[in-house]
Amino acid sequence: MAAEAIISASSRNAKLRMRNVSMAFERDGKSIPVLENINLEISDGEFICLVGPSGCGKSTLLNVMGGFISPTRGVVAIDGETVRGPDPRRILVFQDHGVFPWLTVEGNIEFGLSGLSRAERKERVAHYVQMVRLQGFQHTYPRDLSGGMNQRLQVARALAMNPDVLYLDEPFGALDAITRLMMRQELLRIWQAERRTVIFVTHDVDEAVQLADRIVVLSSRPAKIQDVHSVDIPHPRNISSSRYLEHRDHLLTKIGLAYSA
Amino acid sequence: MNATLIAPKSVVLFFRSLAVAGVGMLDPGEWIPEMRRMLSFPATFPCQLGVLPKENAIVVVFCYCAADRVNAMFLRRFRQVRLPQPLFLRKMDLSERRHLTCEGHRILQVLTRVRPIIFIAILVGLWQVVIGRNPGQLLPGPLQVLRGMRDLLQHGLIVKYVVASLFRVTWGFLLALLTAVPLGLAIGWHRRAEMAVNPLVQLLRPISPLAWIPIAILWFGVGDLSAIFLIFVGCFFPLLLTAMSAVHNIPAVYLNVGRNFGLRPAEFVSRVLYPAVAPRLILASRITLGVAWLVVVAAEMIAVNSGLGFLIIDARNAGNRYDLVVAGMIIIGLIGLLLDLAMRSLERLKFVRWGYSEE
Repeated sequence: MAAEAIISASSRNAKLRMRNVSMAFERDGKSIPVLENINLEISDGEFICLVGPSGCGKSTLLNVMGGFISPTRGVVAIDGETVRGPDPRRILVFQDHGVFPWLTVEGNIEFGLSGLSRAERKERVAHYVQMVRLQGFQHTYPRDLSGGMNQRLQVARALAMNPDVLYLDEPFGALDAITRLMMRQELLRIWQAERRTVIFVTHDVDEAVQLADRIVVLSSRPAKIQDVHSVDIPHPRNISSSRYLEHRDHLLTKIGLAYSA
Repeated sequence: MNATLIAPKSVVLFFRSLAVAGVGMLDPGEWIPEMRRMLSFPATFPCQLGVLPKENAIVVVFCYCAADRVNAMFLRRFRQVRLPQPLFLRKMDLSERRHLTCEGHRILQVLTRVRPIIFIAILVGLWQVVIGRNPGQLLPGPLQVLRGMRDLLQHGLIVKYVVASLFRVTWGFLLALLTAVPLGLAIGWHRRAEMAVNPLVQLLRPISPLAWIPIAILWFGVGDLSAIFLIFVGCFFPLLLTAMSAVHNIPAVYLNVGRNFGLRPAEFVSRVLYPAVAPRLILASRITLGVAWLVVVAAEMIAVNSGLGFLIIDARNAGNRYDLVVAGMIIIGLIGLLLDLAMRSLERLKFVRWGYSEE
C-alpha cells in the first residue's frame, strides 16, 4: 500500500523528493535515532498531512524538509535541487509565537518583502490582510491580537512571500476547537485559490482527513513511514459521510498500530 | 505630658464650630451611631492613653465628625452614593469608584498625584521643626538649604556643575553602550567566544568602578577623561553581560523565522537580533544609567574639579557649608530621578512594549 502510493506519486513530476533520510540527535555522547530511512515524493500543489504519535519526529521531519536541520543521512531535494538550508521560497509556519512581537500586523506581513517596491509591497500586504481577514488590524501589535489572529497573521506572512512550498507545524494546535475549524476552512480556501504545495504536521486525524490529498502516517520513534494514505474525497468534505468515516477509521487503526509499535 | 500636643484654644473653637455645623447636617437618627463609631478612631487614642486630657476626646471626635461631614458634602457633589465611612481614612473600593462622576474621577486623580508631594512637604516641615528645636550642627534646615541653593544659582554654579556631571555621564554611558552592546551580542551569539571571555568578565565585573580611580588618574590625569573612563568602566560590564544573556534568551522561533526569510547577515542583526533584545537592553540601560549617576558623584569627589560630586566635597572642605552639601545631594537626587523617568519613557515605545509584562 505504502509502496504503491509512492510509485503513483513519482509517476507525476515530484516537487519534493526525500531519499533515505535518517536523522539522529547526539545527546550525552549517545546517538538517538529520530528518523529512519524516510522515502517520500510530493508532487506540486499537493496537500500532504504528516500524522503520527506525539514525539515521533513529525516536527523534526518538517524541519529537515525546510532545511532548518540537516539530516544525518540521505537527501532532501526540491525541484531536483538539494536543500541545504532554510530558503525564502519555502516558508515554515510555527506552532505558536512565530510572529514578531515588535512589528505590527503590516510590519510582520511585509517582513520578507524588502526586495519589492513600496507600491508592490503595499498591494501585497493589503491582499493578504484581506485574505486572512485582519482588516482594520494593520497597525495592531501581536500582543493585542488573539491566538487565532496571530496564527492567521503568521500564515499571511508566509503566503506573502509567495512560497512554492508551505510547511505548517501543527499551526492550529494551540487554538480552541471553533477557531481551529475556521482556520482549517480558511487554509483550504487559500490553498484552493493559490495551489501551493502544503505540508501540514498534525496529531489530529480528523484534521488530516479534512484537509489532505495524501496522509503520511509515521510510526513512533524512530519515525518510519508506516503508511501513505490517499484521501480521494472532493472538497468541501462532508465529515459525516460514510466515505469520510471509512478513511478516518482506516487511519485510526494505522495510527493505533503506530502507537503500539 | 507634652503641652504642645494640646491644640491651642482657637483651633479647638474653630473645629468645634465646624463640628456643630457638621452634626447639624446629619439626620438625628444617624448622628448618635456615627459619633459612637468616631469614638473608636485612632485619633482619640492620645486622649485614652492620657497624653491629652480626657475631655479633649470629645473635641477630637467633634473635629472628626466635622471634617467627615465637610468631606462628604464636598464629595457628594461628585458621587451618587453615600459614604459608608469617612473617605479620608481609607481607600475607595472599586464599586464606589464606579459611582463617581467624571469630575469626581478627576479629583481623585489629582489627589493621587498630589499625595506624594504632600508627604514630602510634611517630612520637610518636620525636618524644619526638628532643626528649629535643636539648632545644633546635626544638619542644616530646609530653609538654609534653600538659601544655599539660591547662592549656588546666583553664582551660576548649579547649571555649570549639573552640565559638567551630565556631560561626563552622557559620554561614559554612551561609549559603554556603543561598545558593550554590540560586543556582548557578538560574544553571546558565538558560544565558544562566550566560554572564553566569560570568566574574565565575571572576574572584572565585581570590581567597583571606584577601585579604578587611581588607574584612571594615572592614565588620564585629573580631568573629564578620567571621570568618563570611570563611568565607562561602571557601565560596560553590566551592559556586556545583559547583552550576552539577552542573546541566549531570544526564542529560537524568531531566529528560525529570520533564517527562513532569507535575510542577509546585516539585516538579520538589525531586523531580528536587535529588536528581539531591545526590551532587555532598555531595562538594563535604565539600571546602568542609574549606576553611572552614582559613579559620577564619587568620581568627581576625587578625579576632577567640577561637577556635583566636587560641589559636595568642596563645600565641606572649603568651609563646612553643609547647606551646600545637602543642596548638592538634593540636586543629585532630582537629576537622577529625571534620568530614570526619561529612560522609563523608552519602555513605553510601541515596539518594545511586548517585552514587559502587563501592568
